[in-house]
Amino acid sequence: MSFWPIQFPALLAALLAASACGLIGNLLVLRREAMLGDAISHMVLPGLVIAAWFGGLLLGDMWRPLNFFGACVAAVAGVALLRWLERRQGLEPRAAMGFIFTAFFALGVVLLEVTGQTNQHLDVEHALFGSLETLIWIDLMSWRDLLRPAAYATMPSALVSLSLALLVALVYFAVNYRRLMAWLFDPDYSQTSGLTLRGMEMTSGLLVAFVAMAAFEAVGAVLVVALLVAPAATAHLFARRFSRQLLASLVLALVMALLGWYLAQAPLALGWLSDTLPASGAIAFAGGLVFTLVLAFGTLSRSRATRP
Amino acid sequence: MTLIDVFLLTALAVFGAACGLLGVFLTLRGRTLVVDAMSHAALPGIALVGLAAGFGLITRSGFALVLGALVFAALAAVLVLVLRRHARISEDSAMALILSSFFGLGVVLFGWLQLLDASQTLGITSFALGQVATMSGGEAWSLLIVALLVLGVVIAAYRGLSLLVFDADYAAATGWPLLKLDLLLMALATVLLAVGLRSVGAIMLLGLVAGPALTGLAGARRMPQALGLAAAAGALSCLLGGGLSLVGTHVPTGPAIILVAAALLTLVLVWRALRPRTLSVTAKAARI
Repeated sequence: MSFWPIQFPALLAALLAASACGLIGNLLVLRREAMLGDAISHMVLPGLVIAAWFGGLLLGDMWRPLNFFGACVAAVAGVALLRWLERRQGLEPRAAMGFIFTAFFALGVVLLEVTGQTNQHLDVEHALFGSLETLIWIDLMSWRDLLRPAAYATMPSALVSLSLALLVALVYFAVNYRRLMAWLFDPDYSQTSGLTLRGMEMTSGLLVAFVAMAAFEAVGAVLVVALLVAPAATAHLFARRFSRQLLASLVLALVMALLGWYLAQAPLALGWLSDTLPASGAIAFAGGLVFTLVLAFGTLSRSRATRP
Repeated sequence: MTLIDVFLLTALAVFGAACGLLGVFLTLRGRTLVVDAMSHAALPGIALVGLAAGFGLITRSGFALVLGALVFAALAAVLVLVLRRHARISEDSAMALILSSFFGLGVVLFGWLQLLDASQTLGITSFALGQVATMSGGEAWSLLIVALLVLGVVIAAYRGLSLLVFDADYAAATGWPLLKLDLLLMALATVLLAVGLRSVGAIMLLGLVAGPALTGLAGARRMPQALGLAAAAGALSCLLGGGLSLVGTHVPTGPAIILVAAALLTLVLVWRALRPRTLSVTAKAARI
């Protein structure tokens, strides 16, 4: 029975990444800036590679806090560069954003190739498509081991960083709930009531970078975008209150992760294929599927309601 | 460097020039990011052609792969246009959704392809980041021909496209077929992307469309100058980047090209900062 040591950690990582990203994605989708999430999730790569390289050089192995620091520095540098190019240099903002994040990602890929020998934990495939399938928890042989503290010694470190990301996201929303509502729905009011917009932009951008970075290692750069955007955009189709929007995006993120997970496992379970399909890709696809279903259902029920 | 390498690089350089030229129009029309959605969405098209060939339904050819990419890129563009008309979906959300869910489907289908035949030459990484070394002579020919075709059409439709991006209202009032011009712009982008996936890669194509265009627009004050500069920057990026990737180690082609394009943009920005009198139109507007 390989569910507990092999499949459970991967499924748990997918659920944690989905709920953290699903919640944070509201900061992007409600401000109509979903592509900024795309940009940030690509821009963390060079920071991550440099930090992992230095960490490997100085400390012998990947040292995660340093990776987080590197990724956040890269994201902040990228966004600052972006703002400077559009405000001071007068470049077209959308094209500048597209070019900057592509260039950052390109730099990350080239650095990965150059430092390839010293980075055993990072390679181009993982950066692109994630590494859910490689998460293994050796000491977890049944659910009873979850209660045994000794078993946590071999817990994959990705689970720690993802839990931390979810915790930080939950605390951020709990502490800033009213402020966020004002900032997201009525920026003018929030400015007159003494909030600094720059401050909200900064903290939310940092948070997106932090969560994207934690999820990045599990599901890869492009698929982080799916986790960030699909739940919040789907919830926005029907939710009419901020609290419901947040709750719905959290639930939809979990549904999406579970659905994608089973889509990836089904061909093996049914005996059609010799192995499972890539779970991270299936989860991103499931995001599109869930969105389409909700959109179709909403359109159908509305057209039925307006029929004479 | 063999003769075929020289031919590959020539085709790639012409392709870069076409991307730079078209990129100027796409940038001025605010359509650069759609390119990203389209190029990511083309991946499942390629995988489906590979799967159909794996099941013996069709024979796999460079043409079939380009056709698969073309259909899915066009589908993505249409879906973005349809979705953003919905009151509760912003254009950004529509693009990010299409981009990521189609890419996810691509990852799954390429995984399936890998399971059917582990010795597959069709790897998703080379389509995501580009690998010019794996291109055949036929693919280089199609790259060259399509790029020349796009260059020709853009030059022929220069007046209409310029009016579209600078003063759409005036163009409409004087009877230019605005919708057709818009469609032409997107169709040219689709065709260009579909042939460029193999060499530049789905994730990097956006950079080749936006980077040289920004270089051209930042470095010139008049449209013909901007177009020339953008085409030159695109060609030079592809020549140097493609050359680096062919000669050098296993650096994928796309990232090499984009880093050269970034260096060129930096050069132009530095040059402009050192000569404050040659401010571009956009920079003047930003100062005011």
